[in-house]
Amino acid sequence: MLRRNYLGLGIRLLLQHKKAVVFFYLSSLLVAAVLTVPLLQALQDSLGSSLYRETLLRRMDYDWWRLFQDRASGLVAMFSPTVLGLGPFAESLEILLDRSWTTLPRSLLATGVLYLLISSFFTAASLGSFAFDPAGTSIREFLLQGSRLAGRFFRIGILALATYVVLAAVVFAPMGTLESYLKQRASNDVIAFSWSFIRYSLVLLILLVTNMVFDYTKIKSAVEDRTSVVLSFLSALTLCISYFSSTFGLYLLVLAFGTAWVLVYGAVEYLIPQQSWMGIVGAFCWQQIFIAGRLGLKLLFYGSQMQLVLELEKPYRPLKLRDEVFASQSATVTGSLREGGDQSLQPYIRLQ
Amino acid sequence: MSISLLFSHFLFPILFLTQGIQEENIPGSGRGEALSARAANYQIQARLDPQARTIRGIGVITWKNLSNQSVDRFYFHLYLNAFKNNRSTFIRENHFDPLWSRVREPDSSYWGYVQVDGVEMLGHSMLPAPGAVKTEYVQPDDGNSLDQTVMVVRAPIQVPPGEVARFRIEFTSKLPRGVSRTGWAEDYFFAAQWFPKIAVLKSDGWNAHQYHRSTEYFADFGTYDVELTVPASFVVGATGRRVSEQSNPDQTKTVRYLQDDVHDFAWVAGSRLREKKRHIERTHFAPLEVTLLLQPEHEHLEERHFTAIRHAVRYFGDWFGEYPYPTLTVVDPAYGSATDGMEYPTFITGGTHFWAPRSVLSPEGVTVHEYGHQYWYGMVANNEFEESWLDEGINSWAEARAQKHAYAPSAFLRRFFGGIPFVANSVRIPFETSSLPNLRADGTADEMVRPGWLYKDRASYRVNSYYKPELILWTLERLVGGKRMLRVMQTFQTRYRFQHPTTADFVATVEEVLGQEMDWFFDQTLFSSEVMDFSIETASSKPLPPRIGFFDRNGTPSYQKEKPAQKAIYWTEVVVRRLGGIQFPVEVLMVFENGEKVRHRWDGNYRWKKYHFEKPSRLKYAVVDPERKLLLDINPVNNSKFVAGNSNPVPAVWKWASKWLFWVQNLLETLAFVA
Ligand SMILES: [Zn+2]
Repeated sequence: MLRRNYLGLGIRLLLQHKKAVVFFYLSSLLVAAVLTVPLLQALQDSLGSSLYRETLLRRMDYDWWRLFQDRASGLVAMFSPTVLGLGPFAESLEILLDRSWTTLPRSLLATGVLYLLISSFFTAASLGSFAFDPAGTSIREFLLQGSRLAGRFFRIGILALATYVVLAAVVFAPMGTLESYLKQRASNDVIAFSWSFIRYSLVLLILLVTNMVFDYTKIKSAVEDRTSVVLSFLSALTLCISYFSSTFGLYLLVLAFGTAWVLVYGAVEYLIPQQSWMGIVGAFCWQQIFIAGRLGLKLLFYGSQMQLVLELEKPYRPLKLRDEVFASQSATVTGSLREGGDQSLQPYIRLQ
Repeated sequence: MSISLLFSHFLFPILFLTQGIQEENIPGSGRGEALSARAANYQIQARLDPQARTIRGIGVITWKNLSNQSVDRFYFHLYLNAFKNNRSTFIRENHFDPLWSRVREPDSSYWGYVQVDGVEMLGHSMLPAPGAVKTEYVQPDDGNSLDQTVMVVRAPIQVPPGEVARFRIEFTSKLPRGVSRTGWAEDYFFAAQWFPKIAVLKSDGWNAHQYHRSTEYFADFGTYDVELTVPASFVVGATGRRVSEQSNPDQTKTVRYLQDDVHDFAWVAGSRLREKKRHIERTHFAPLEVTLLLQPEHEHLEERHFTAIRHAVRYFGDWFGEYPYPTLTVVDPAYGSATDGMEYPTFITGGTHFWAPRSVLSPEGVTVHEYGHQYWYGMVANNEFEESWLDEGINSWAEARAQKHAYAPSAFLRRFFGGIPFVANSVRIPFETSSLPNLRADGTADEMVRPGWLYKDRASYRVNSYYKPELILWTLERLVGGKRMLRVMQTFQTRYRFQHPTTADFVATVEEVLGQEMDWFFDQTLFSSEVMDFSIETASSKPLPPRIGFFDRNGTPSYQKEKPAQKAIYWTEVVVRRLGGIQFPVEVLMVFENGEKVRHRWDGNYRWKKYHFEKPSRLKYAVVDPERKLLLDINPVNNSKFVAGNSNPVPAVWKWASKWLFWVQNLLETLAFVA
């Protein structure tokens, strides 16, 4: 399976590109903040002068929440006790797996699309930077890489989205129908639950594999500097199929890290008393650390995957992060990469 | 060969019941003190055919005319015909949807009916031989000629007041696929409302109603003596006590159940049920034998079921008198059977999920609720068709009260991925007010006390049968105090045990026990479609300006211009508003920054009330109904107001907004997964 410590290499790569995490994090914070403004207003209207504000400082009050929900509409109506504990993870995953995101409030969908675009740009910038100079790039270079690859990544995003829509219609929808058929004939609730669980697991598995192929599509597109999205996709698909145990093994490893991170989050969050300003601020900081960590993990994953690609697809050799080597070279190669045509990817060759 | 001949010669090896019934089962025959009038008594022998999903039965009904009029027309309920076709009133009221909604085309096995194969009137003193009768279907509620849930039997003679009439009825019940309380699911058979059941004769005539989407039932008390023949491998549970069980040569067994002073009989049979038995000690009676019939995958929840029953037996016994029957059978229904939580005399159904977190009260809630019905429905047997609140409403209050004594409030639960529970342990659902959202949503649809089938829709039926009356009773309890409330309900229970009380009887009992006229309370709640909503509209405090202008001094206007005082005096104004239609007297509490508290009582009649104060301290906040006695108030959040200060979001707002932000961040990041 994994012969080399790609994760370790990924971590080193990530440490050289910490600013990528910052960009991702800021975009997450800002876009989510846009969607927090309406809730902030609604909460203030409901709690601003009522004695319930004292109760709500200590805990979520059921009577209050049901009333708030009755009065709310659109996005704000989605506010529920699932914001607590591990609720956010369960709820967002279920929305993803159930295709119910198509029924999400428009404001959320629109913002979601905006987030996808921004996220796609920073992914392009990060992967471009990783490939361009493993030893780190300046902000300008980072953004330049983003703009160089953004168009391509946007097209990959469209292709991924189209794949998801097709999967949803052709695979997931019939799976849902089959699930309800089987549940209806189930003789008890354990069997009925099992059918649901199997369906969710299969959908998740399919999405993971699809997502992995598109990750490699992006990586190949950045590393090989291909302009054809379809060719990148086919090349990534071939790679994933040829080295499935390595590629998917790495994927599962990172997934395990992610799950562990979620559990750590849950445990710490549970321990923070949140009845005072200090506690509230403390919990908020911890949540934001979690988000930054989650985004860091995503980038770490990209880095590791890139290492894997370079290892598997000779003649490229994996990056050897000798910082002193990168430092002197990074500025000189900018021009050649931006011109695009060179398939040999000079930075890596020079690194051997 | 006629069906009835085939039936009696081949399906029932032993001939029975054609002439006379055993004297020991006639009401008043001396076998134990009769607790009820025992007007409708049944002896039934029935055989389940699990392949055909039918029950063939012969019943002898011994009926006593308790009215003051002679009758020769007898009304019978054929409830199972509600499932006969999609023109029955039950399905018509469900917009022609037969409820098997997930099955695109239910086959004939899904529909159910009860076919009366023959009716005879047995040896009445004025009728030496079995007498021929005529039958017809009638539709007293809606005139739907295709509804066959009420049958009239025309007897050859009049039965005078005080006399007894006996009918022998042969019937075939085809059970529907379980969709609403009764029916089959795989090899689980739940038989409720499965036999022809005589209606109640009152002084103004027969009280019989069709089977509706949103109603339950009504019947006279009596003795039920029922023999059930089922496959030998089936576990059986039923109303009453099992008095015998015998194996038959044809791989079947016959179990006999007997129970006095009940008004219905239901039973269950299936191969997967697991039988658990326990005994619960009682003060005035022998230990109660509790039989729990669990689904195998719920066996780990046995203890939780028994604990719930123990709590229920204890609290209902303490509050409303001891449960008098020798047995209680609790059924955990089969998955997808739609048996749901339901009450039958000495026989209740509940239900739960195999993955049942401890802090969420399932199976406890439904078990306590259905047990409570043994008191409110079972013994105090109101007409559920016409005044459903008397059983469902009172029982919802009593059930919540018992749970409040026995358990911590249930935690918020949401199931993800088809069943994995997410429990927010810090969010607890209060026992008293969990139904407030329903009252808010549908509270004005109907006046509360109204026949069940005449409510605007099912949501209104539920609000007016369960939620609103529950909140009314909680409000009443908070107004009069727990002890007096219990005395009211105790009196109502003991006075009307084994009778059929009405809303008027309830109101009279309340007024008698409390010693006061309560029209002001009941007119606006039981007999109204108004809701209650008090609010603090404004609360403000500002320093009084220094005096300026002409003020009388010794009777003469004298110009004054005061200097600003060292210590300001504040002018406080509080406006309390009545947003709902219900006019109840209510307390208003004003709390000042120096800790001073001022309390006023407002009669709540006019739309608003304004309070003014001149005090050396600013007002901090005002609250209407500070002890939250009026649980009917649909909006508790507007009941209080802090004096307007700065408009910055308060800490609670930041707290929940920050959690929401995190929720959104995770959602966005998860959705970003697709591209
Ligand atoms: Zn009930």
